[in-house]
Amino acid sequence: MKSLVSSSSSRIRSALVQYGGLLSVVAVLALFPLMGPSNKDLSLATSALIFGVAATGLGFLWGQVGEVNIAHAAVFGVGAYTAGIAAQDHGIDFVPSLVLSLIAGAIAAFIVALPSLRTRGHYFVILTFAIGQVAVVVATRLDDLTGGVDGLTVIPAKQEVVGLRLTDRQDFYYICICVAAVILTALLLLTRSRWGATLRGIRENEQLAAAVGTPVVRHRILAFTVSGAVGGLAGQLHLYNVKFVDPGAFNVQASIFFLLMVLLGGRRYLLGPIVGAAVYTFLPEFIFLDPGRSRMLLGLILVAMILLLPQGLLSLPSRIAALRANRAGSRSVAQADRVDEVDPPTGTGTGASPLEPPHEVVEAPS
Amino acid sequence: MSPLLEAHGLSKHFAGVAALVDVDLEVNAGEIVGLIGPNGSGKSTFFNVVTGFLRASSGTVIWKGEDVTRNSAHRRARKGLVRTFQERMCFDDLTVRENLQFPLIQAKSRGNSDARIAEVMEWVGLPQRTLTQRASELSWGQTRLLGMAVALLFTPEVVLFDEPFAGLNRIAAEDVCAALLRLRAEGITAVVVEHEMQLLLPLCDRVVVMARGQKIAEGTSADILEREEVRLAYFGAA
Repeated sequence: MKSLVSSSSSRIRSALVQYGGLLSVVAVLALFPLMGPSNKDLSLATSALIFGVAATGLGFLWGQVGEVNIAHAAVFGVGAYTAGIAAQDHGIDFVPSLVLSLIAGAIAAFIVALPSLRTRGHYFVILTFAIGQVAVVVATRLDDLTGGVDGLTVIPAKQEVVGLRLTDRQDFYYICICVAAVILTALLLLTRSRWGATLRGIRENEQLAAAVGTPVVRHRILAFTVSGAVGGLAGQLHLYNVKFVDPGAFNVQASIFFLLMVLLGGRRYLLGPIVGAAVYTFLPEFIFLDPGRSRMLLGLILVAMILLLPQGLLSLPSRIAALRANRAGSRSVAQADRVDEVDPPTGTGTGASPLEPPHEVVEAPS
Repeated sequence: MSPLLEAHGLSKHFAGVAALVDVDLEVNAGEIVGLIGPNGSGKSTFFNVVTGFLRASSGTVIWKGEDVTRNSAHRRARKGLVRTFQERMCFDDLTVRENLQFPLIQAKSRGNSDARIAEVMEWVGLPQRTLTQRASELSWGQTRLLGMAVALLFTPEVVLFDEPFAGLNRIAAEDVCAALLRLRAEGITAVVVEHEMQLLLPLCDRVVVMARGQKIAEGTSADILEREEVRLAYFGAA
């Protein structure tokens, strides 16, 4: 029973690591404006944060359920258009429009999920790709509502949210941090809940999950809806950040950039997409590349990541630890081999005696 | 007493090919029924249709007097009809503990889950030290035992074991056999699909033999071995 009893301490440790990590990232983000960044850097940080939130929605779906939704940028666009139309046509303020975009994103993702969930694997990805394309065409054709190819330009009325001005670059950055912190905490709670465990079971083995009474389709649709709610909300923040939205903002290429952010940071880590978005946004700036070359670089990074670090940048510490452990293990095996070489044939050395049965019988699959 | 599980005239066609033809089966509480037959005889199709992973082309599945033919797999499981799988038996990238907690979460089980997990691990003979290991790190035989434990933790009324000895060497197969014998002693009701007759027959109260998608014989283990049609199906000669 010893190993069972130790489960509670490992749970506490993992909670401390996860909540501590989240708190540290929020603290670092909050301290960034105090370092005296230029207006451009602050704008980039705001964009990275918004894209990071959008990618977190996608990462939740990919990491927890194992589904890739190429229509995620379309959901992000639905959130942005909802906020734009709400502000422009109905004069709705920031906070209610945030809620509206969240609901619109959830509904859009629910609609994407319904037909998509009849398919699996590559077919599923292709179907979401097609839905994403259709969404761009619809947004282009509905010019009365969306402004067509010209898009919507929205100048929000002067507003304050808990004393922070939307029109002030630094204040808006802090608003984004607050929203991101709430979203990340909510997703962390969901991930650590029984529902999170259910989603991971579905990700690992859908048939077995169904065999022990799990309504797989219902959970998958719900996970899609949560992911879409986060995407829609990020779309609203994006609109208030750039004051403009057009169909180009949520085409399939945008979805691929979100996927890249998730992949860069690590899809199994809640903070992975935030880290990925920061790298995606700032890396081309650091190495002074024009947009064309930076895309080439990002393509190369994507290939390198898939080959060398498929679990993302956040998996680097555990990867290094595993490599060190392997090296230490192989060193001790080599030492044991040397000891065996000088041991008398009675089998009293540290190596296993050929007369003793192996500690564990390992069966090979047929 | 009426049977727990009944299958009446179950058939399944794939694009015109008959994989299952008019099969009947009854399973009573507390018995272990073996379902044997050569490869391609329709055993797994029958399992999939009974548990709701495939929809029957015709026929009915009755669970405790209720027609569940149109129920999904998870609904049948929630009613007490749980199965294991021949391949992909567990949640590979989760730890053994997480694998074992999964059915308890789905069953909305209250009480001491650690004690329940320890009890079932002992039943099936899965070592406690494996709890923190990833399921993908287990040996093939231990993975089978884990799959059985996952099914049992959902507290089913009938468990359908799909080829529990498949791919195992002799030692591992004996471990699985011992686990099934312990479960039998606990009074569990089970249907076991297998084509390894030597291992299966001593476990079963009753054996059903299938060939070419049809039920060709039914009886006790001793009866079955004497039947000419069974020898024909297995060896091609009486």
